Amino acid sequence: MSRHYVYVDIITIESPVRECGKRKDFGLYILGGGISDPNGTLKHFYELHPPIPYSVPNHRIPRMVDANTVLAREPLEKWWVDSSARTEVRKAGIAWEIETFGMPLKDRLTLGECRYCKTAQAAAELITSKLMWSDRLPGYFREIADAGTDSRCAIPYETLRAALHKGDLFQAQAAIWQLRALLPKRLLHLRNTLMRMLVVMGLGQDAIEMP
Amino acid sequence: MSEPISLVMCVGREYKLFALLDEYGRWGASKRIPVTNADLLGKIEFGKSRLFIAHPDAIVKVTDPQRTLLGLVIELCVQGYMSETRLLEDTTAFLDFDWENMKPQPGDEVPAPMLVVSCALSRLSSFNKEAYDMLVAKYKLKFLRGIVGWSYITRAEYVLPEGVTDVPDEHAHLLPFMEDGTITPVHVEYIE
Repeated sequence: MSRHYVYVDIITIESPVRECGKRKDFGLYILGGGISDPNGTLKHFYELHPPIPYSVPNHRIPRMVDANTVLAREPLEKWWVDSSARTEVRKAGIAWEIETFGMPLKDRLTLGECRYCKTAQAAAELITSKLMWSDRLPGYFREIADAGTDSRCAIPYETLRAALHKGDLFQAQAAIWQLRALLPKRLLHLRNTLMRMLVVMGLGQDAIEMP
Repeated sequence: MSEPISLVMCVGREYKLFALLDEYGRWGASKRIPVTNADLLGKIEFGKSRLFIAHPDAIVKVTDPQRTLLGLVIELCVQGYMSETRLLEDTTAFLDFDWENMKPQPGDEVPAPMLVVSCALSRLSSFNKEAYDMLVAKYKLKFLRGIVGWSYITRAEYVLPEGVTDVPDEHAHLLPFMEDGTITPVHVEYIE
């Protein structure tokens, strides 16, 4: 193992033990405030009254933002800059793919009916051309309803119900895939019902390859 | 001149809000970042970029339809859990708001003294858990994440254990940042 010697001066600092404990060895920290220069001292911390709502799941990695849009309380989608903005665009793209196909596009193009499709449009056209209504669909849906659902499956379950009600089979096949991905262990037997639904909808190859 | 990038970071619920504000107010913000994210240090400007801190208990929402935020604040004051009684001079400040799906957006209305209330509850959860649990159940309180404040980012420090003067293989990419002064390598002595 090679040695990576630090050739610059290593400073010894005094620090209080903070609420989160002592600093971790070999940890990288960013610190704010408290620096003085001839023009004055930066305040350590500026509280925000009221706090700015931040309805984003917890994240460990820092997200890059434009401070002015944050402080102006502009919509979240305007906050992100640099790679965080690219991440948001990618996330929005994946959300669209899951809503449309029930799975990320990279999976859709390597699985079942769409295995040889090159683009999202080709996959969507192929699925649309194969879809057909079957009078057995409501019966299969009843089997799912009778088994009871899980809170995690609530959204695809409701989407499937609404799609079948409207006769929107494209949305129904996406909801079936989403439901499969979220099925809890105790409801795994419903996988067979979901496969049967795909078969009667005309997506037999999808049913065969459903994990 | 364009604004330098700033950062948003989350802190965990185990880090009590009142302790965080007290500590950051005294010593400034301090957050560990993954060493794999060191490249973002090249994008920030010390003294100009800001570090925003998001806390999961920043915003408190009374969800019992029979009760109000004002009722909660009065109870906190009467019981002596909140000392900022002067805030009650303007009761309109505690008008509660409803948000779509309980997911308020940055521009949505939040009562102005919210941070004082959430801090009082956070203090209560540390020093009188029983009373805190009682209030949470009585008012059906829900806590939501919000940005509670910010610091100007003034430095980045890499902690080396006492007596160690080299970095592990997987941190070797930090050395150029140390050489150009972006990251300061430090040994830490703790003050009791």
